[in-house]
Amino acid sequence: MGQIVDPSELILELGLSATITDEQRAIVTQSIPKAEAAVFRYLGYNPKQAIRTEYYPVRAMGNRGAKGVWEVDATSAFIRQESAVTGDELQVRHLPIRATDSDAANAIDLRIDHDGRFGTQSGSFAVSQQETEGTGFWPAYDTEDSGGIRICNSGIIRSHGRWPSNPGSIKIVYVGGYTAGELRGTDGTIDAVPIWSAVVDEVRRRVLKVFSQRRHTGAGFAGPFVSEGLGDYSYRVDATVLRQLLGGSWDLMMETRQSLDSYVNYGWQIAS
Amino acid sequence: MALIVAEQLRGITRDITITDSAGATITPGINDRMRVMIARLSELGGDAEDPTGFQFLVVSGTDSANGSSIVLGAANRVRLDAQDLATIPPGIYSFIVDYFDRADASEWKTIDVQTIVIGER
Repeated sequence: MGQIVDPSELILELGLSATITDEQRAIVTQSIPKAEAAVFRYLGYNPKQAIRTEYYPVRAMGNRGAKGVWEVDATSAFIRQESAVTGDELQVRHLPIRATDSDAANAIDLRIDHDGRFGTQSGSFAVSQQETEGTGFWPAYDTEDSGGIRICNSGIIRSHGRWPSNPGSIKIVYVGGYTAGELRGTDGTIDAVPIWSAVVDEVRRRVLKVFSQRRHTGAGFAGPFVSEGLGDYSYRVDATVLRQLLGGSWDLMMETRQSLDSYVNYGWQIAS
Repeated sequence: MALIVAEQLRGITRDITITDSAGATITPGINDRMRVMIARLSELGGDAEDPTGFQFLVVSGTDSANGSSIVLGAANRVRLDAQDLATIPPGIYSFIVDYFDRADASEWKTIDVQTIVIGER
C-alpha cells in the first residue's frame, strides 16, 4: 500500500477508473510501493509527515582542537566536545522540520547524553538531559506553513556551542515531512507537488511496462507494440516516447531525478 | 467499477447494486448494513469494525447530521450531502463500499473500491 499516493489516483491517471479489472488493480497496487521506495531512496528520506526519532552523530568524527564546555550531571563532570566536521550545525534527515504538528503538539524534543550510545543504554537520554528550544538549540526556521507553524526547510539545527562529536550522543524527536495537501498542491503555502508527481510518473511507468509486456504479436513474441497497421491506418511509436513511457530498468528516470533535485537532503548524506 | 465525480457544496446520489459471483442481485436483509467511506487507503487505520483516518463515513440506518444517508434495497441509494462533501479537501480518493452481512460472520467486509474525484467549488 502506498504511503503518499492512493491507488485511485493512479487508476484515474491511467484512465481505467470505469473499466479496471482486478488484475490491473493488483498490478497498480503492487507498483506503488516500488515507485515510492525508488523516490525515497533518491531523496534520502521518506517525505511523508510523521514523528521521527533519530540519533546523531552517526559516524565517529575526528576531534580536533581543545575547545569544550564543561557540563555536570548528578554523578559526573564531562566536557561537551566540539565536533570537527559538523561544527555548529546539526543536519537531520527528514525534511522539513516543523516546530510542532498541526495540533500544536509534539514540539521538538532534543536531548544530549554524552554516553547515550544511540539509546541502547538503560536510562540514556533522560528527561533531565532535554535541551530547551531557543536556548540550548534552535532550528534554522525560514518560513511558516499554512497553519502558522514554523518550518525549517534545510533541516539544520544550531546550538550555542558545538555539537558533541561522540556518536549517538544526541537524540532528537521531531515532526518531519510534508502533509498530504502539500504533496498534492492543495496547500496554499508549501509546494511539494514534484515529489507526489514523481511517484505518480514512476508508478505509471512501471504499470505500463507490465501492461505492454503482456501483449503479444501474432507470432507469440512478448513485447510492446511499436507499430500497427490495418488497411490505410497505421502508426509507429517514436523510440524516444517509448523510452519515456517504459524507461527500461532504471530505478528512476532522469526527468524524475531532475524534478526531485531541490528536495534531496544532500546535507544529511554528507554529514551523516 | 465506476468513476464518481463530485464537487464540494454540491450533493451527489448514487445507486449501488450488489451482485454475487453469478451476477444475481443481492438485496440486503433487515439486519444487514452498508457503509461508504471516502478515504485515502494509506491514511486508513483502526480495524474493519472501527476504522479511523477516513475523510467521511456514512452507514445505512444512521444518517449524518447534514443528511447524507444510505437507503438499502435492490438498488442501495447512497446520498452524499453537499455540506458533508464540503468538509473534504478537493482531490482524488478511494470510495470504499463495505457490507455487513449478518448471516455471514456478522462482520464488515469491503466489497468494492471505486474512485471518487472531489472538485473544488
